[in-house]
Amino acid sequence: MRRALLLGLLVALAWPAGALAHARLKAEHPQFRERFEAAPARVVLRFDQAVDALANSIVVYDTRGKIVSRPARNGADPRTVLAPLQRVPRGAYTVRWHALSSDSHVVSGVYTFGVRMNAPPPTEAYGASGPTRSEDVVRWLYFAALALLVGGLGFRLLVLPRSIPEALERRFYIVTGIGAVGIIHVGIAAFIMRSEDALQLPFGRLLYGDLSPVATGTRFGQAFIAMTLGFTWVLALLFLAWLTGRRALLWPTLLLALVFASGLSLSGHSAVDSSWFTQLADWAHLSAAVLWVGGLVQLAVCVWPAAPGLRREAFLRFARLAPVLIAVLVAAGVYLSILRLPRLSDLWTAGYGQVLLVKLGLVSAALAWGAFHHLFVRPRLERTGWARRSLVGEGAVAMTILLLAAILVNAKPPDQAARRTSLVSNVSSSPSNPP
Amino acid sequence: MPPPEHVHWLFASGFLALGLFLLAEAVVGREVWRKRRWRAYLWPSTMFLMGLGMWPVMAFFTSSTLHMLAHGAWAEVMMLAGAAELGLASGKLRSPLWRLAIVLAFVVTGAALLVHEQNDWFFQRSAFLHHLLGWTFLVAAVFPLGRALRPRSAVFASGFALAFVAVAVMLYSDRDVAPVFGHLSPMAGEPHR
Amino acid sequence: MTQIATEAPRETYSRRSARAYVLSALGPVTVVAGIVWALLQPYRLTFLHPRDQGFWWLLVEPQLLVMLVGALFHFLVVPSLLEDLNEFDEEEP
Repeated sequence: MRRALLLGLLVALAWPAGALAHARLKAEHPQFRERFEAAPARVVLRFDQAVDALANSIVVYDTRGKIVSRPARNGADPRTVLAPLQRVPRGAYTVRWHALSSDSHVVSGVYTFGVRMNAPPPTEAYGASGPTRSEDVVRWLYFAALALLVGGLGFRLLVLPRSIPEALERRFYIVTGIGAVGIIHVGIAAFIMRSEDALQLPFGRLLYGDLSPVATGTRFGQAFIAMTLGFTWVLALLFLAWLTGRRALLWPTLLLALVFASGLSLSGHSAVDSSWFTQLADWAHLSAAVLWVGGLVQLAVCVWPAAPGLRREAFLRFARLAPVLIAVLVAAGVYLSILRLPRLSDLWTAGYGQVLLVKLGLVSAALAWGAFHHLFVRPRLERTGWARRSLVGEGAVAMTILLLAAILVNAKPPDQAARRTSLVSNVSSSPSNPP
Repeated sequence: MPPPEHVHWLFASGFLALGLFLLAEAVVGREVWRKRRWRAYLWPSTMFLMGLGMWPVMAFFTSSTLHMLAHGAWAEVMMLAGAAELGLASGKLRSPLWRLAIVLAFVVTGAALLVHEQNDWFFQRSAFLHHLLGWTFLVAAVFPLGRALRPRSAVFASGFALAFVAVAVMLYSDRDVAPVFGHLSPMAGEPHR
Repeated sequence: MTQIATEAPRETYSRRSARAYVLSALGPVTVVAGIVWALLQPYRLTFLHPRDQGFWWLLVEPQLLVMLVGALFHFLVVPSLLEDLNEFDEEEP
């Protein structure tokens, strides 16, 4: 049985392409996010090999979901597919394409173009529903991984900047390493999920979906590229610090991680149309939060079990750092809240405000917990057996705050929602759905 | 942005360098090779850096999800294998099980090559080479495995080194502008020189 | 007995010089492979027809990369390795 399975696997690997051969898009007219002053007469796609055109191989939608293209057909060159367009007025248009390769494999893609206006990013193409709950969870995991990495590095450099026991050092590198690897993996998952939403494809067909318009044509995609590459270097530096035992290498690691964490502030949904100062405030808010949460994790997961002799010193030094972090966190948070919710009533009338209200409640609870540590636990640290559990509790509340922060980053503040009419918002009013 | 063929050739050069380092180690023996400390780090750090260099390929060449995931897998296993060997060479890692990281890298790389190539063997040159590369990695995984179990075996050490040289030759031959195997299918478009 | 005792070191010496010989040949053989490839497929050397070629096509020339790897290996790795090999041979009885 085992041999048969092994043989089957080898055969499957040897001839995976018996019935497969998929084409790739080489060129397109209109191009990704191209702006026209006069409406184009047709859409032409050129592939790297011959493809079969079906009637719906190219479908062009306007912002209301009306189809403005005629049935597609092959061009004179069997590698091209074209679809004539109706005379279209000023507006943004979404091209959804599917091509049947010679082996019956369907490759797909989506992109946008504009007539006398700028085209929206493909993530706001007609049919895309915007960030989902799964994406909120993935963004939360991203924040959590960032906290493990950045908070861990900050803790090691600012709270315990000296030689520490080997067991503690090992735990520190394990926790920060998990954070660095997690950031890269979760980032890839987030990118694929966002692309899946734009492409509107089931998983099997998503494997052959062209992601390049999302990668290069959106802020999210550009931030994904920059952050993925940046954090691979952070991971390499972290590894080098471990390998050589040089603590000084952790400084560039921390600085690089903080710089690339700004990609979240630059790519979040609420970052659109905001000033550089707002984005800076967002980055300061995020950085202070992950340093604080990651520091709590280091105290509870690394110092307490691995270095009992350092508990008091680490706790007291972290207690000196935490108020600074919390001050930055609160100041930036208040500024951003006022900016995004200009009316106080938005806090209870708008969905964004309601999530923010819950987040503020949890922040207050975490601050009270921190104050309890500061006032009651610190003087009795040597006699308190439950300090670790209490730290874990505060850390758990902080992690929940990060979840709410993830939801808020993906959500649209009410003032922006009113100001901008996105293509996404037209989905519900549309009479027809894309394939 | 370099064209894809250049990326293949640059990585081919990295694999060729790896092959030469390991061949030299196989020829002189481990004791002589490790007489200077930097040499013990030479091939693992080359592999680690190649893994680091594979990430931009994943991030910038996103013509399909499958393609992107395959490149990410190669980047990851190369970094992991390089890091494990560096850890062993420095003495930071002690368990010999870490030697299996390079075996894992071979298996994952081979499987990802075969899965990500959706065309038939003889569809075009790159398809042929992807199948060949995939099977080379899968079969050649026996060499790092043998090397992990019998570190002094010249056969396993040489086989391990020659596997990288073979991979380098295949990567140099990859892409349509390199007519080593000829243009195999009219479906792949106009033949190049 | 005497004959065996005198023959054994000669065999060892011969095996070890073969190792040094193979080691010294690795780099040059790689360079020659690049040269042969360049002669067989000169059209892949972009610098021979540089007109309208972009940066990457002028930078990445596969045959030259092969030669470069062989040369770097020969000049940067082999000399110290040969020294160590000779030293090792002398130390070994």
